[in-house]
Amino acid sequence: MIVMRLHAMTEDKKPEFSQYNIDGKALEAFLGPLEANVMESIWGSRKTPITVREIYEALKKTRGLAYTTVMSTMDRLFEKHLLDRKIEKGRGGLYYVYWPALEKQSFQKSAVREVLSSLIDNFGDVVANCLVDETSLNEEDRKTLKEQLNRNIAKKK
Amino acid sequence: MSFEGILNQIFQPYFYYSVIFLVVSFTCVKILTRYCSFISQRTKSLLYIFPLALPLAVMLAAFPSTSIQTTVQQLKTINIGSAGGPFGPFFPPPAQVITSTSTVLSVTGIICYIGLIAGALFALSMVLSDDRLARRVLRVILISPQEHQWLQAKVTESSKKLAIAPPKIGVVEDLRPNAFTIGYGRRATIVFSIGLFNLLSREEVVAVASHELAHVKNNDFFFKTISNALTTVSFFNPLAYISSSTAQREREMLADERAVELLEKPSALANALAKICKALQNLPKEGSLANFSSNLLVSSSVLHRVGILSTHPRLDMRLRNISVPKTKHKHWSRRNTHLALALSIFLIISAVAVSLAMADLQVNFTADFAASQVMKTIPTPFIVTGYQLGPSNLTILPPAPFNGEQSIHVLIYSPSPTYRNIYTETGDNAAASGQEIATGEFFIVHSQNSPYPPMQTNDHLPGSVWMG
Repeated sequence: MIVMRLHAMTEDKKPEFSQYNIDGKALEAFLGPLEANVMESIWGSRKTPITVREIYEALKKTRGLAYTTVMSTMDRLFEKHLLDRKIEKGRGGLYYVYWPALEKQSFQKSAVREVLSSLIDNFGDVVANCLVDETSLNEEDRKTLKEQLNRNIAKKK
Repeated sequence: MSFEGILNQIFQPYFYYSVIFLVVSFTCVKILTRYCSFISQRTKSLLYIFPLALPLAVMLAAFPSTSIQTTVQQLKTINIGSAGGPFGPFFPPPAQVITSTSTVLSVTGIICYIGLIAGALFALSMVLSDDRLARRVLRVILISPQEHQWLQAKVTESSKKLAIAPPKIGVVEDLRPNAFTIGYGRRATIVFSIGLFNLLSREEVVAVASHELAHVKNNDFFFKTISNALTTVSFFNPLAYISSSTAQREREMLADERAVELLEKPSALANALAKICKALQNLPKEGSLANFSSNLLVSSSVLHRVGILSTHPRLDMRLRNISVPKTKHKHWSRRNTHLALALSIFLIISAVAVSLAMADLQVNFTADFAASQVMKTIPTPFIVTGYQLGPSNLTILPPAPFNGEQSIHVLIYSPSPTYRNIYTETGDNAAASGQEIATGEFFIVHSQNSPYPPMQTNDHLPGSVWMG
């Protein structure tokens, strides 16, 4: 597994992606396997906001998990600003309820942008060349696109 | 209901005996436990159950004979036939009888029955209740063997020391620091809130666990069930709630004492209690209904608020109990003990005297009240009838001969002189039926000029004085 550390975001409430896992599938590229499971569960749930117990019960059916593991995972996701939470008063006393800070698509877009931004910052025109090579354009179009991308990257720098 | 009506209800013997006995016995126990310092926490808690058990004993002894109150709901007349012959249609014999008395349960009787039934149902449902149901209601999550292994190891070790089966361990999402026990014996589950783990150190959590284990060892589930069931029986008496909560406070002290014996550092329990108490001051109060319902399922919650009905003692008392070695409780003052015993005996004798005086008052009062109710409903013109005394009842005889105008006395069967021989009416009816009026009903209809002999005494009617 190759793990690339990305820059932590300093702005308040902006989602924080601390790693990129090149072998990870889908969300697991940006999050740990359990974090990805929890996020998928929350996005897939009809109920919002949701408690740790409800997520634990949903995940328990598919994989054997301990409640405290789910609790600490959700706590970590809150610290990364991927989840929001508040204290609610109900039948069970006072407890946290969680909801996603971003919709799934916004999260993916934001995460991909973070990774790209990091790659461009570190590898600049190599990234542009790689991106263009991946596309199915003819030679002339590729050349034009590369020049344009390199200009934009240079301008950004 | 009139003032007399309310007094009449209160004067039902099973009702006021149960109230008086509870008040007196609770006061005696309070005095004894206050001044006889050699009494252990366990004995104190059992002593506080005694005042709660007395009303139950009184009710069971007094029911059903004195729980029935005879009242007159309606006086109605029934024409039971007409004279035959050619003049029959013009002179129908007024064959009328009173059929109006009925026996109904008094209001206080209904209250007592509700208490008895609710208490029995409560005790039964608690003993039969499934711990899984309680866990579901309280949203308890059982922890896996991999979680909080340090705690699980300590609980197993302490359970061995106490010679009990290691209880299951669960958590609830509550952010308030709390721990409690569900179920009993092998079905017991000790539950910790997330707030407790956040607030306390591991050592302090273990101390709280020891306190809960002590509750399991002391069978406090059953103690609380019995205490609450007996309180339900006397639900109309505020002192029952105070007695029950006082008994449960003593069990808390007992659990603290036993927990200290289990701990290497008894100060950990004191620290934990102090932290929980402090944290509680900054937390919002739980709803009374939620609190009540969770208290039914939980045999010992460390989360509580101090008050007269609190099931937990004050923090300073608990800390003193934890810090003072057990042997120091043993010193006692002979003078205080004698004083407490003398005071208790005086109270008991006074209570018996008051009860006897009340019983005498009650007989007169309730009879007068019932008779007054009869008088309000007697219609005019009234009926004429004969009577026959049986060993325990009166039989109204068959129709007397029609003999014109008569003076009729309506005599009220009452041990009190107030309503005797008070209704006089002139009428021309002479009627009766074979209807029987049982002892304890409140009126007798008597025609002074009827061919039947006047009744002189009520020797056949126990408990009454006839002045006919």
